[in-house]
Amino acid sequence: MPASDAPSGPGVGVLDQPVVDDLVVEDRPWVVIVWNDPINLMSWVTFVLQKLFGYGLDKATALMLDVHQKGKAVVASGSREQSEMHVFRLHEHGLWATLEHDE
Amino acid sequence: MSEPKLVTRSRHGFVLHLGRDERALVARLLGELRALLTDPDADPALLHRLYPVVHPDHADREEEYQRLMRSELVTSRLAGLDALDEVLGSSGRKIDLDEAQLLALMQAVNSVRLVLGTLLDLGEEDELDEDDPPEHHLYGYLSWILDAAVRAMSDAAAPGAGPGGSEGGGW
Repeated sequence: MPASDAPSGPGVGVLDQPVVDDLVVEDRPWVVIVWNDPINLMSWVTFVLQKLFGYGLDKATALMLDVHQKGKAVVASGSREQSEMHVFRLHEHGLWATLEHDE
Repeated sequence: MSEPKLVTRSRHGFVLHLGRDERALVARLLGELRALLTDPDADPALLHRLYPVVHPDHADREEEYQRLMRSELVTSRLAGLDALDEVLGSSGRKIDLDEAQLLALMQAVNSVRLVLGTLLDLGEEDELDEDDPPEHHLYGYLSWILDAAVRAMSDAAAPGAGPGGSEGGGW
């Protein structure tokens, strides 16, 4: 953001701006997405979401229905390492999972 | 009258009720899956559902992920198949499985479904018809096994489940 856009009053520093930007980038989580596909059974997807993430039946079923009806759902988020491990485990179970991370 | 259950709960885990021919069929399919997983010349089109792209918008990250993790996924799947060799080779109509073995069976059966479904180019609305070729019926049969196993595992995890239920929580 150009410095000229910042408020110019005393104590309101544009100096803080870059620091805030860095923090936002660092904190932004990676999201694990499961996509709809014609092969995986609805019961299996629900089961896998319960098993891998500890979700109750209601939450796992709601996520599965999101996948089925909307085409995809965010099923977990976290650090890159955590999220890649989640994706790996989803793939072990045959689900179609990808990662997204806004730059 | 309900049909006999394919997967039931036992004191020590689960029991898979498969006749000799059915057991041989499942064992053969899992053998074919193993051959496919270990064949360096396997058709990538058949395998693409087994190894989904993880970073669809970022080629560098995708290359790095696959370089590190693809062989791990193969190893994991082969370990699951190894765990099943012995149990499917046992005689008798009832096959005793612990939870890890039943889960390995579910993962392997679903892997075969992913390959078959890709081969058959199945769509969301496709339904099994009597006139369909044998591969469609095989696919339906594997779906039936997987669904029965999910129900048995879910029943076992439900509060107040039978012997050896889910006391202590978790899966």
